[in-house]
Amino acid sequence: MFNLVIGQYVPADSYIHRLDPRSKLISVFLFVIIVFLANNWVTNALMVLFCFLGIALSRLNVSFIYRGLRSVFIIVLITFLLNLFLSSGGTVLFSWGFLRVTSAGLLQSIFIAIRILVIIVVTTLLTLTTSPIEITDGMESLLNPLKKIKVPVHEFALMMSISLRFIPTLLEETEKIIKAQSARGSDFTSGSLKSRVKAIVPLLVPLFVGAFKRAEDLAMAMEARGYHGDFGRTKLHQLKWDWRDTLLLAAVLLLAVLLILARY
Amino acid sequence: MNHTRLKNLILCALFAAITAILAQVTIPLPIIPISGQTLAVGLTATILGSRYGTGSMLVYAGLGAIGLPVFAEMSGGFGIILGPTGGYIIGFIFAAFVTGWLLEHTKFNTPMAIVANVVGMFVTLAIGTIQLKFVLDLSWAKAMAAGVYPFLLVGVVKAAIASVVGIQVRSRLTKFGLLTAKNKQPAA
Repeated sequence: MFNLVIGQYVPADSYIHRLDPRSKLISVFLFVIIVFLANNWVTNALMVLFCFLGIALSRLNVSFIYRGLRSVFIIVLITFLLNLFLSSGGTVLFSWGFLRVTSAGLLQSIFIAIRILVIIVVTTLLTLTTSPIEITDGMESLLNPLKKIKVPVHEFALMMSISLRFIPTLLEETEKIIKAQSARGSDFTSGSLKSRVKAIVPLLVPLFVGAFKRAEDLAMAMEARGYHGDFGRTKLHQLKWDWRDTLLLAAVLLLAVLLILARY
Repeated sequence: MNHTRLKNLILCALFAAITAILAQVTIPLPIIPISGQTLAVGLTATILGSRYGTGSMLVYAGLGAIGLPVFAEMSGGFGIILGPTGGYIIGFIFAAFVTGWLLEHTKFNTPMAIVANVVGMFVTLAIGTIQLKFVLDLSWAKAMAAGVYPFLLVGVVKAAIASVVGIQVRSRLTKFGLLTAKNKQPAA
């Protein structure tokens, strides 16, 4: 369950790891949009090349990327097959009963599969090279202008950090409650539907009541240490934007220009 | 920021954490094993109400979006939210709002909570199925068959559990003085 808190982050020292989380977030966001510009072999090859460049610069073992992709292979496969059999146009390459594969359909399904895969590779690359805390800080800083229209950006970032901090604690508590109730003779794995539902109640009630008590304590502790919201707050880890970040954004924009030039 | 508001923000964060934990759990009921994820959504809305319930689900979706494996089967990442099943996660946010709103405008009791949770379930399924249809480019009939019908029965059972537990938790909290009975939102 350690995994639940650090997420997919793999600490390392690489060009991509050292980038400011803000530049990475903006780049990924732009990339996910410009991916839709690709519509032929050249443009798709450019995107794949860009992904490989990113992977190489991150110095991550390819197995980490593969792990991120594993869960979506089935979805990509389903989408591929759906598009393969349901698109028409071009010459018929293969037909069997009502199933027909056409050249245009094959091409289109390959492109859609590539599109999904590159989006996933790029977003995985972001979360592999940036810790959850860094991403939260980066998002708070990027969304700062929204504070003007009263969007509670700081509060949201605060809630994310508290949630991150308390997942392991609450997990431990859940396990403790399950053990305690089992020791008192609760049985969740046998009996009728009604009796099992009844057995769930004493598990959940202490968990939620405990959360309320914890919230009260934590709020008190934070206020005792002088927390009074966003105004005048300083940070331990300052975000720093340097030329590398500008270079990354320039690269993404260059990719967008190349894609526009190379598509038909 | 006053004490009550800070406490409520922390509650949102803790409920998002609980949702992340329950999403990894499957409750072994006969015939229909249910996932803890939607159960946690219903519970959050029933206990916290519309405003903070919605906030809590936003934090939950946010945790998943930045790559923590908080969604069902330890999945996570921005790709999941944009993917075929991402609509259900987005649906949770709206479902929490609708469920909480219905309860705040009627009464926090078990029968009303069941109604509100069932309505919430339909909100989740509707938004989830719309995204499923468009991402996978399915027909409406196929999307409904894949995204709505299999979850209806399980959904009603979950709504019932969420209501019973949610209302019990509320009454315990009122007894301990952690929640004022008349208040729509949890108060200090």
